[in-house]
Amino acid sequence: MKADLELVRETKEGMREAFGELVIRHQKQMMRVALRLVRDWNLAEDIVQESFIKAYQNINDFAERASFKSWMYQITLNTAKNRLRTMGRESIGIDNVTVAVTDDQVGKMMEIDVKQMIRQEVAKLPARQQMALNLRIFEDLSFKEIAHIMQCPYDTAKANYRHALLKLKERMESELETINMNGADPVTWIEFGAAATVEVDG
Amino acid sequence: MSRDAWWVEFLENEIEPSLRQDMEKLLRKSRRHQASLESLAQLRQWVEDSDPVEDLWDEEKVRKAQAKLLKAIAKQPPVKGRKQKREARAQDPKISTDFSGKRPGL
Repeated sequence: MKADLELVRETKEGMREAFGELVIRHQKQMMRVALRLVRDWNLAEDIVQESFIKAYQNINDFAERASFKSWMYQITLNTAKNRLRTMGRESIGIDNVTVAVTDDQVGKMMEIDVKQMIRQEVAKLPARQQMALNLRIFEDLSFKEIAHIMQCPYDTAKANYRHALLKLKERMESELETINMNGADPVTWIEFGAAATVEVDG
Repeated sequence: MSRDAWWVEFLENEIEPSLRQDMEKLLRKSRRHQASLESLAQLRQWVEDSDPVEDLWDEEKVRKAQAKLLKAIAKQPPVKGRKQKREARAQDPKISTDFSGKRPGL
C-alpha cells in the first residue's frame, strides 16, 4: 500500500486517481469530525466535500511537513467553522431551544440521560474548546498534533482542552444537583457528585 | 492552575515523571484528591461514550457521499506539477519568461 505522502506527490504530478485513494482513506474520518461539530448530516457532507476539493485544488501548498491527515483535519475544521460562522452560529447550541414541560413528562425527565446531557453541554462549549476536546477524546490525538491542526501553540491547545473538561465538570455538577433536587435517579448523582461533596481531609 | 486543572494534566499524562510521583503519593493519602481525579476520569469516559456521531452515522450514506465526492474530484482538472507549470509558462506568449528585470515595452 502506498503511503499518503506518496499519493500526495503523485497528485501533485497530475495523477487525479491518487487523490481519489486519499479520499477513500480519509473521507470517513473527516465525516466524523464534521458531524461532531455541526450535528447535521447534509451540512457535514457538504463540508467534507468542500474540504477535499479545496485540498485537491491547493495540494501544491501542502508542504508535507505534517501528515496529509493532519492537513485534512485542519481544512475540514476551518471549513466547518466558516460554515457555522456564515450561518450565524459558533456551534449548534441548545440555548435557543425552549422545552415545555408538562406533568406527565416529569417522569421521563427523571430518567435523565447523562449521555444526552453531555452532548448538549459539549455543544455549548466555545468552538475552539469543542475542537480540542473532540480531537483529544474521539480522535485520540496528541496535544502536539492538536496544536498543529488548530494552528496554535502547544500550551494553548492543552488549555483549550482543559477549560473544556473543567467547564463540563462544573456544568454537569450543577445540572445533576438540580436534577437530584427534583428527585432523579440518585445513583447518577452520587457517581458524579462525589467530587463535589466529599471533603474528608484537608 | 486549580486543583482540578492539575488532575486533568495528570489524567492526560502531561505531567513530568517526578511531579507525577508526588501526585501519586498525594492520591494515596487524600480522598478529596482521589475524588477529584475519579470524577474527571468519569466525565472523560462519559464524553467518550456520548459521541454524537454514533447516533447519526449511516454507512450507506457515507458510501454515497464518498461516491459523490470521487465524482466531483474526477471533474476537477489535473493538478499541474511544477514542471508542467514551467512548461505551460514557457509556451504561453502572454507570460514573460524574460527575467532581465526590464519592464516590458520599455
